[in-house]
Amino acid sequence: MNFLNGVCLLLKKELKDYFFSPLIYILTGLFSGIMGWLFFNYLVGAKNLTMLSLTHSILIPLFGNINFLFLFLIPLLSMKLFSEEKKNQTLDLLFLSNLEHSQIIFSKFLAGLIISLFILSWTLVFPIILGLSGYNDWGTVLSSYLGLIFSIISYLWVGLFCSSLTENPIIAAITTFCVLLGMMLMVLTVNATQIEILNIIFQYLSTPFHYEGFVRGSIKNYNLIYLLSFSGFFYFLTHKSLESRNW
Amino acid sequence: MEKSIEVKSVTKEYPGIIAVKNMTFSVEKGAVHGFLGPNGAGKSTTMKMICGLIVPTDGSIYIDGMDMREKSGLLKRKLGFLPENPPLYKGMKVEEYLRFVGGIRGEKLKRNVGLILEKCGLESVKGRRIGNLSLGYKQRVGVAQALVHDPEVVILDEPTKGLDPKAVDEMRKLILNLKDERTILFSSHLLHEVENLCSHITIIKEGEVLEHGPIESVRKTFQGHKTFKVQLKRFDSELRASFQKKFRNLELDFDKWERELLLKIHAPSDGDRREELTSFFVQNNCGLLSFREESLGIEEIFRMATTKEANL
Repeated sequence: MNFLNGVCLLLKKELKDYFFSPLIYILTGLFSGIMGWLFFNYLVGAKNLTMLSLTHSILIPLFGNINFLFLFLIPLLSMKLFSEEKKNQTLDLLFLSNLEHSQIIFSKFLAGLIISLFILSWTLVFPIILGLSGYNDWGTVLSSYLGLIFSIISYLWVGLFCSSLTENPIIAAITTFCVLLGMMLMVLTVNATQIEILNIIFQYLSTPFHYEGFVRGSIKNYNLIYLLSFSGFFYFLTHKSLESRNW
Repeated sequence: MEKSIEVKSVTKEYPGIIAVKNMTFSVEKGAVHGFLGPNGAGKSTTMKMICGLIVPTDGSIYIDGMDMREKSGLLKRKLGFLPENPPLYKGMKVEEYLRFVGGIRGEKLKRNVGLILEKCGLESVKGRRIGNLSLGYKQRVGVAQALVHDPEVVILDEPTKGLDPKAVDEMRKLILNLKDERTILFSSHLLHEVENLCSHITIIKEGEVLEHGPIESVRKTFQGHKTFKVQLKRFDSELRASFQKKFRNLELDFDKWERELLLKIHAPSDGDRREELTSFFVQNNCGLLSFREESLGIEEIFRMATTKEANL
């Protein structure tokens, strides 16, 4: 079985599990409701409707809120990925199959990503509404979405790792949320410390710092290096966590 | 006889506990091998080590002469495993689940699904969600997933756990169906099932092998004496005196049933005294109704092997 076939087989099963569960529809409904309400408020609250003001007073805060909401959504979406398999002992079934650990991890990651993008896709309606009114700064919209996808990928890797640590989905969700919140609060440490080198290190390690780069439309090499190294690090930890049954 | 599974000096240690201690036993090719032990004896750990799901701390496991550590990928294909709790995706339908398992076990194996459904008696429920099935059917689906890739060795960890007598009977038939085609290692707490199905047994306790081999030879180890059960019409005090005079080293137990007598004769295990005994009862016109040698049941063997007294 080649790598992609194995990933597709498990991915199909994971997506089916997601779409047959009411959780995904509840979360999508809640998320869309909150974002719609926020969009309406930002639109009503905007003093003048120029291209610049639409970007700065509506879109950028709106994308910031989407990013913040995913901090809560990702733990809920990723909590069952491994913990449920562990609880039902179906992980042994996967280990006994021809699938490699890497195929199992990637298919679960991709399933989480597709579901997150499905939820995110409902927010496309906001730039479309603005576009119908003449808004055309699509570069900012695109880079903001890239930034959101960047954040979602990072959050998902953390969620995947935390889910592989326990049999209890609730514990997995809480652990993921704590780790993500800790990473977000690193920004406060950046403001508090006077030592420049520590300042730079903490800034680099905090995910929101890189997200902001995308929203501003200034994507740097180190943003992508951060994403790759962050994903690689948590992939490694998840792999080790799955191997830990042999320790 | 060719060996299908060989467990050689296997030890599994967890922090603060030794789950399996220097365990050695083997399973012959084509045999149905019972794996017995009290709760927490290390049966499930050993079975998972044989399947390659847990790596032993020390020792080696060979499947068809190949080391599990070196060729785990290849050997996993030869093994089918039903853990204590069947690994089922409860939201899937039976056929869909078996196709999925067949798929992750190897694309070409999908065609086996129809055959397995028929063999495991799952055709009538193939379109139903696993979560809605009875315990007996869930267990069958568990066995079916272990067979879907046509393994040479099938390892079943308590396949009859929690089943009602009818479902146990059906599971027995299913295992009997697999006999001759495959090597089967299975654990169960229903010892009479083990006795009915197995040719060989291994009894373990606290991670160590206590007894291992064909049931008959294990039985002989524990059977210090032979017991004969004799049903007679007449056996008065005169006959009894004459019996005790002739067979001085035999012990007698009486049990009277209305007009018939049930005699239990305990004899040393060396030598065959059956002909001598039956001749005595016939020649003395005792009205011999039945005569049979009583053998130790597997439950007694298990009890004797796992109690401290037996080890002393």
